[in-house]
Amino acid sequence: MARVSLATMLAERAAGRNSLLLSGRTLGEVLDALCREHPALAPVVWEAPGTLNEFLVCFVNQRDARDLQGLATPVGAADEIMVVGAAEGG
Amino acid sequence: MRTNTQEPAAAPADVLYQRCTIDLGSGSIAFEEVPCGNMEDVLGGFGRSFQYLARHDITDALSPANPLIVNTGLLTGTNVMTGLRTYFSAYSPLKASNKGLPAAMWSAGSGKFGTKLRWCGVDEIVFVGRAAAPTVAVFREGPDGPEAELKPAAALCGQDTHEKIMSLHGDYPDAHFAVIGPAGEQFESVYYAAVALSTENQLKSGDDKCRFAGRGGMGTVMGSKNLLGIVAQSKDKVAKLEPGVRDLNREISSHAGSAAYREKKTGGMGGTWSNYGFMSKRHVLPENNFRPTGSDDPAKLRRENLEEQFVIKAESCFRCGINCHKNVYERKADGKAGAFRAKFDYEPLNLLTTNLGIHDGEQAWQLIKLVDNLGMDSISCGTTVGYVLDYNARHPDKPLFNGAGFGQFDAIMELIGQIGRGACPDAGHGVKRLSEQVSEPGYAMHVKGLELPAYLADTNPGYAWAIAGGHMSMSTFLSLMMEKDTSMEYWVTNITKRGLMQVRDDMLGLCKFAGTNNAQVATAIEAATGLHVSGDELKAATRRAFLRGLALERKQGYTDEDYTLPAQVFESPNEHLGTPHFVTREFFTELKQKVWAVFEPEMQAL
Repeated sequence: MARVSLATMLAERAAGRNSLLLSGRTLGEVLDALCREHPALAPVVWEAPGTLNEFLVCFVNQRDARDLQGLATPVGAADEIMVVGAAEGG
Repeated sequence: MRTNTQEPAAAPADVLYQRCTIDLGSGSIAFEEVPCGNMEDVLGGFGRSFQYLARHDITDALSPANPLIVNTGLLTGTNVMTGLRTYFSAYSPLKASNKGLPAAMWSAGSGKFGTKLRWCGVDEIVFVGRAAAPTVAVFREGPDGPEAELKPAAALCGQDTHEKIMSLHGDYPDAHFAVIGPAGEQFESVYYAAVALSTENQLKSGDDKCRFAGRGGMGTVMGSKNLLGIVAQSKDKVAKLEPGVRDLNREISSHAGSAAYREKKTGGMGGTWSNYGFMSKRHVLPENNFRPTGSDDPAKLRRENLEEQFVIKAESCFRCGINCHKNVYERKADGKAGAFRAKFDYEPLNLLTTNLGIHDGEQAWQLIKLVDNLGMDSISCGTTVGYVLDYNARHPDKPLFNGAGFGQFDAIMELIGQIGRGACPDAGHGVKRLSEQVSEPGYAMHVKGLELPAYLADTNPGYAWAIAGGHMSMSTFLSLMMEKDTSMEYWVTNITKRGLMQVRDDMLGLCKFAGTNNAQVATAIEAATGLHVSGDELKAATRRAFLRGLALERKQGYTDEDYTLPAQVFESPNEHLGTPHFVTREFFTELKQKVWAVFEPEMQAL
């Protein structure tokens, strides 16, 4: 299972958990699993079915998934995924 | 702090903090160990200082009686990453009710001053009175505990923030510093003067790399006391890293919570500056006095568009692995870094450039540097100047001040210079007062007297309940973009349950960029201090402290009419925004009723 780390705003929709273990062969499948486990996340994660909210950025092993294969990026059991907002305060 | 318990929630009086009260008028200095009255006292920061302010009736923020409280948080000076914060609290010259009474404010800054202050054995300083001559307060460790001394400081007068810090560094090489700039010295003319805090990087490199406690005019209050600087002199006392803290620090420097502020190579977004990408694309980036034009000009200041022109280095505060400082250097012909230019953060960058119609990197660093050197809050300064330029665009035949207009770099530099040196008090008193003076308050971007940060009020009705600046005390400013929910139920919950939790770190001594949750903070407190504090206790203390802030606003004359947004938001929706217009007067009126229905009973029960 991949380890998924969530930014604070997302973690609030996942019962306060900012780190979860989830399975899936691709980034998209892992995000699907995340939203199945925490349905409150679905309207934030997905702009439309299969389309990531443009406000979110995903990293796979610290690499921006947009520079990889996007939602089709392969994910293995030891991989680490981060889901963060495209803008933050400061 | 001294702790005689492990359970501060049950026995707060068994936690004692060291307070030094200095009457600058008489020169008296008194240290006392104060037992905590509740959990907010234990946590520190504004949670403690606001209780002190509530016990003082102040009608004039510049009066010698207005206490300036300088304190730290429970985790300041510990090994917990980002535990570096110092808090400055007072009745603000800037934030005020429509009745004209000053409101309580705090402002936080990092750097190493707070850590050094804790290492001196001081948890809190209360300054009252006004010194007869320019003064510096020096704190140091003595054989029997902390000691303090007041020293003449006339030689520092007129120096900018960086110059003052480097001058003091020459006299006190093992110390760190909190100083005001020329703006703070001109306290009667500049109500948004900041306090500059020295950083390790600054003292080692000699480069102008202060951190700032900017909001609410705490530098103005310091100036009104003729207090030019505070020195915290102690040996470095880095304790052995506790295993629990080590694990947490690893998490902080690599988890999603801090990703926005880290470099891309460490799985980050590249700093707050990266906001330019998403926000300019969606046309929600403040431009020309918070009025996006729909053009692509703001994108010129995206980081990737400046990387050929400058060398950008990610640097950090003391022992912080997030490296959020995006420091911009001259790029020499050989591609190497030359002279340091300025630190580019989203707020100063936006409000001193794009919001003023400037879209040029070379001009950007000069504006940021000027405001930093003068020691002003870049948010209040940028927002006020944005209003001036807007007014001048509307009244070309009768402009304000030097007639500066959007995009006119030289005139804007001149205007900011005049404000910071006290030559332009009508602008130095902030946008609320200026807009009322010229009878055009509708496009003055402030709420409750405090200038808005770089997020549009059109997207955030939660601003009305922010107690210390729009985004750092009410985290609803990006909600619309992220969650796209415009329902009444969502916004009531967002403000009353979630948004207010933003102020937790303003007690603890942690930086919000650490992105920690309550469970992680509870772990940090136990590992670093031995105190057991549950996540629920933290949550409850945060809520009480926030509500106490709202109650303090009421004490200073705030009524229902004070809780509003700039009229332009209701009356003139901007068609260029890539977000729905939902903040109508009707929506906002209903929202107020529902939010107060939640908050009022709790405030009365405090």
